[in-house]
Parts: sequence; structure tokens; C-alpha cells
Amino acid sequence: MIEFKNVSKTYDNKQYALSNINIKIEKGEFVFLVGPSGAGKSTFIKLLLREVEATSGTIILGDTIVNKLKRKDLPYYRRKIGMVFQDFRLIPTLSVYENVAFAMRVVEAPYREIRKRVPMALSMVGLSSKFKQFPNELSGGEQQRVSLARALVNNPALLIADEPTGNLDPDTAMEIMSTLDDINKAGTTILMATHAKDIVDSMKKRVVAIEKGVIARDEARGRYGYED
Amino acid sequence: MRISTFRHFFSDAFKSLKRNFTMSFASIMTVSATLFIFGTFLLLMSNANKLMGDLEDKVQVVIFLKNDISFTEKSAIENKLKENSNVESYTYVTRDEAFERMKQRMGEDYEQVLSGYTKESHPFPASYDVHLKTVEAANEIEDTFKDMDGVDDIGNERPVVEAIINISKTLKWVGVFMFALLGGVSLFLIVNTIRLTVFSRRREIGIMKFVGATDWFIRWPFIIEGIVIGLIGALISTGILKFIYGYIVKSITTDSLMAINLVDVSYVTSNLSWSFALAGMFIGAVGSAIALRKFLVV
Repeated sequence: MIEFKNVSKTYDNKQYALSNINIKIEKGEFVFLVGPSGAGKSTFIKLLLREVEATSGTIILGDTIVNKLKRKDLPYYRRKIGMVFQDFRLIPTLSVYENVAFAMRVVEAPYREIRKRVPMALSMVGLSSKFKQFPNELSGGEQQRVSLARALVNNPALLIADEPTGNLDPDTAMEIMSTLDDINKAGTTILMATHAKDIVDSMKKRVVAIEKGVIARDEARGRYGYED
Repeated sequence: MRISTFRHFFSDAFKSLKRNFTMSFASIMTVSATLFIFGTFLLLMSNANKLMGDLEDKVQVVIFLKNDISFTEKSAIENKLKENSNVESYTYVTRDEAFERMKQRMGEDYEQVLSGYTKESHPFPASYDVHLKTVEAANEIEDTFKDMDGVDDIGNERPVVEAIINISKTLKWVGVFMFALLGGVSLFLIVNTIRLTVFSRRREIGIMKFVGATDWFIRWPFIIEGIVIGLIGALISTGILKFIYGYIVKSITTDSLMAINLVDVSYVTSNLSWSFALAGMFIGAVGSAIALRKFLVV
């Protein structure tokens, strides 16, 4: 599903942000991306999203060679990936329903499809009853669920979550994790960057640790491995 | 493109116009002020051009004939006039007609001046009044006829002719310059006002980008917003211009002392309104596209 072959990335005038990364992630896997701040997790995700280009090496997602993408094909490529962020990134002027529908309207989905799939996505994250409310009327956990529904509504092959529990209390974080687990069991590949030790240790999923721009660990049922 | 997408573009554009009412209003005023200034200049220019045209129609070369001109000399001149392709028309003015004409032109006050002359003793010669197809041919006509037998003198309003040509040319260039200058200024102002609305929605644009919106999908609502701003601005400036110019035309033409033939007010509502609408929409659309450029990069 995802493959990095000898991928390196240097930013202008800096040292390697990532150096000679080789990794394979299969379809349907759930992978935690861990490591200290500034070690290269964000760069890894940005490379996948093609927000930045690799300095050298090859990145493959599905049948796309990411580093050979043309600018005009970029939007269509990004539709294969669902994104969830620490700060939710909802549009405050739109209702819950509209926020999710927005992601489908943007990719020019037919109206009938939008009407069908948005309630489906909202029920998957357990927010069916709140579709009329606005983001500022929701708790942090609920807002993150809306952003999850938005990421899922277009049926992406890959869901990337960048510290999705970073702004949530431990109980809410666990709820979000169980939703993510359900989504993963339904077949979506999930890549989650996190600093949450408890979550990583309790989920017993594959853990990839990036330190100083290289892969320091890659364990099948791994643990967080850092003190906090 | 889907109809629903299209509808979304429009509703989005109008929502944004309403939400950023102050900014939209400022942009509309910018466009209408620019177009108003430009329109004022355009009206000045077209009136000047019309005046030039009227003068041009009046310009003629007069071939004054000697009193003792023979019949053959006269017919030689007449043949040459017929052959010449620059001649639109010509009329023969006899000595008697020239005298009468001069009396008329001088009016009652000068009756005494001419009263000493009789039909035989007056100094006014017979002539051919020649109407030209173009002003530029005046000098050539003079050269052709001045040395012919029986020709006494040529009346060529050469300095007037040259002044007309020069003024027309200058006006055209000033027009081009003004258009470029005012167009640039209003584009600059529109870019900056729309950039503010874009800036207030940059998060939304960012979200659109990561859920996979194409550049054009993001761009259209803003461009429509720009077009609407330009169009409303154009309508306002056309309205104001029509009102003011209509008032000026009315007060000038009812004042019988000034026999100036002005460009009709309908020029503002017909020709001008269309070009204003197009110019306004163009400025708005281009302004939006420029304002967005920076925010669309990945």
C-alpha cells in the first residue's frame, strides 16, 4: 500500500530531516508513528501528502508514484487520503452536517451521494444526533469525531491522523481510538503520529519510531518506548 | 461541471459578499470611482472627437478665380476637379453669389461697409468651393491647382487642418495612457480588498486543499465574487455618469447661445454601459485571481 524506497528529505540549509528511509505498510494495517518532536514524523506525513517533495528516493501509495505527481493531479491524489489533525480544522460557520458534506462537495460528488453518505459517516463516528449543531457547540472529542467523519466520507484508502488525541482528555482519547480501531477493522489503512504513550502501549499495533531522521525501531506489536 | 457545483459557487460567492460587507462595499466603490473618472474622460474625449469631426466636415479648399478667367481655363479646372479622387464634391460660386454671401455673413451691423460697392465694383472673386474626402488631402489639392491658368489664389485652412490632426492623435494617446493608469490603480485596489476576504477564509481554503479540491474549484467562488463586485461598480458609475452628463447636455443645449453639438446621452447607456460592465467584470475577475495566487500554493 505504502512504500518508501531510499527516501531522503533535506530542507534548505538544514541537515537531513529524513535520511534514507525504507519502509512498507500493507493495506489494512494500523501503524503508530512515534518519536521525539522534530525527529521527522511530520516530514514523513508531509511527504505522503505531497506537501513537500522528497529530495531523493521513491514514494509509492497504491498505484501512484508520489514523487512523480504533476501539480494538476495533486488534488485527485489527495482524495485517496483522509486527514485528521490535532486541532480538528473544522469550518466554524458550517454545521456538523455541512462540515462533512463540504468534503464531498469539494470533490464534486453528486448531491444524492452526499445525502446518502454524510449520515452514514456521522453514524459511524456516533454523532448522528448532533448533525445540526455547530463546531463551537461541541466538546473537543465530538469535534474530532466530526473531523473523522469528514476524513472518512470520501472512502479513502488511507487515513492519516496527526496527533488526533493531542487536545483531548484521556477518556475521550480512548473513545476516539476505539472508533479508529473500528474504522481500521472495516478495511481502512491507518497511519497515526502520536505522543500518547498510554494509547500506543494499550493498542498493541505496529510501531514505527523515527529518531533523528532515521527509522530507529519497527516492531509488529510494539510499545511507545519513550518515557512520556 | 455539475449544476449543484455551479450553484454552490454562486451561493458561496454571495455569502462571502454579505459576510465581508464592508470590504465588498469598499471594492464596489473603488471600481465605480475608477470607471466614473475614466468615463468622464471618455466623454470629454468623444465630445472632442465629435467636435473635430464636425470641423473636419466644414473644412474645404477654396479655389479663387481671376476676374478675367476664360471659358477654357475654367473648364480645365473643372475637369481636374472631376478627376481628382480626393474631391468629395465642389460647387461653383459666381461673383454675384460671393457678394451676396459676404453681405449675409457680415449681417446688419456691417451693411454700411459693403454699401459703397455695386454688383460690378465689389472685390469678391468667383470661386470653386471644394469639399475633400479627407483633411490630409488639403495640401495636395493646393499644389495641384495653384499654378493653373485662371487661378488667382487658393484658400487652404492648412493650420486648422494640421491642428485638428494633431489634437486627434494626442487625444488618442492620452486616452490609452489614462486607461492603463486607471486600470492599474483599480486592479491594485481590488486585489488588496479581495486579498482581505481571501485571508479571512484561508483556513477554509487550506481545508479545501487537503480534502482534494482542485485549484479551480477554490478559485471560482472568489472570481464570481470579483465579477459581481465589478458589475455592481460598473452599474453605479454608469448611473451616476448618465445623471451628471444628462444634466450637462440639457443645460448646454437649452442655452441657445452655445451652438455646440454634444454627444447624445444615450451614448452613456448604450455603448459605455456595456464596455463598463465588461471592464468592471474583467477587473474583478483578474483581481480575484491575483489575490488568490499566493494562497493556492500547496
